[in-house]
Amino acid sequence: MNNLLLRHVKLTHPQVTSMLQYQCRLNASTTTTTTAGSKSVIQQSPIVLDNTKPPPPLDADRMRMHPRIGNREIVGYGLKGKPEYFDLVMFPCPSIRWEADTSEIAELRKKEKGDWKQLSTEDKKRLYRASFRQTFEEFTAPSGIWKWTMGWTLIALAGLILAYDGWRRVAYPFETPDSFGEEKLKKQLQYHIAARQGPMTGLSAKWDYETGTWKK
Amino acid sequence: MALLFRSTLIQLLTKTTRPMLMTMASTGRRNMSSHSKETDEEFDQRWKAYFERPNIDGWDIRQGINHMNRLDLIPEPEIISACLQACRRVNDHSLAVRYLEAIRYKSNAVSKEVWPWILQEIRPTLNQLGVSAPEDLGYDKPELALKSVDDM
Repeated sequence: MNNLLLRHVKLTHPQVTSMLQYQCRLNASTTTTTTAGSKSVIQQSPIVLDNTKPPPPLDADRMRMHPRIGNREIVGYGLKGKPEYFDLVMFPCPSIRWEADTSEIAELRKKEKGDWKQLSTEDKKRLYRASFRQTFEEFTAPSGIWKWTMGWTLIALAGLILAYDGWRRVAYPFETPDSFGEEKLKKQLQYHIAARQGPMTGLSAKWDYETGTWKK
Repeated sequence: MALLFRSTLIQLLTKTTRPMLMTMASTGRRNMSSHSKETDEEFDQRWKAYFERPNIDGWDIRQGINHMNRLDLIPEPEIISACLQACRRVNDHSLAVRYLEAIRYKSNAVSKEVWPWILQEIRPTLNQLGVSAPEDLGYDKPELALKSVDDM
């Protein structure tokens, strides 16, 4: 059963998912039940997955690593048993560390085995960033997307209103009737003044009826 | 649910009690559901015992943290201390900080007064083990501005 790597086979039957969990646990580095000696691979170069180089020879240690995660240590169950990294509020502990162990982190891990009061704040922060990508405050920080949403919504609304108005001007042209002409408008004004429209504060209040002209 | 638990926890949780249909004098609580209700002390004891196992490994601590985080409660300071001691046994300081951050986030969702109280209660454990609270590392404010996973 240990030769057949269960993760190479897509299994969805519920009875074998517990086997898959067992297999994942065997492959993980932090269990005390593994018989393999090395717990984590310390890599020399900072590049984790480099497909310009030929693939490394397949040995027992290499087969333990998943192609998608590189040399990162598997530390837990995670969401569904898969060794993937995630930053979620509901599940604080992902199943793999964020960074693969380089030699400097291996040094820090050795220090971590001793008294934690000897670790400086920088050491602790480095160790944290090696295990996790973002802190809780970082991935729950407000993103400010509401400003973009509001802005673009208002711009789109304004654009639509302008487009509607432009279409109405194009589609419904207004031919002016003859009552808009100068002579007819003059006649209309005479009729308004004769009918005493606006006698107090409006039009006729400005007309002097004795002299028949506008008031000075 | 069964996938996330260890088998011992399954046995503890699914003890069924038969509902007593005919009783002259009821001698205990009758359960309408088949799920046995345990008291708060039993709950605390169970989780404390889970984290106080001397040979616990990082896998089980993470299982426990993830599962307890999903429950509708903030753990008692004794459980938090037991978990921090467990982190010390597996030599993982970042896990302890992450756990404290999770509790801080959850308690701030309830009220601003819960987290200072919890810190005060577990301060002896923090001092004894040398664990830094998130505030000591400066992680109560965001430090890096990385792209959100949803935007990739």
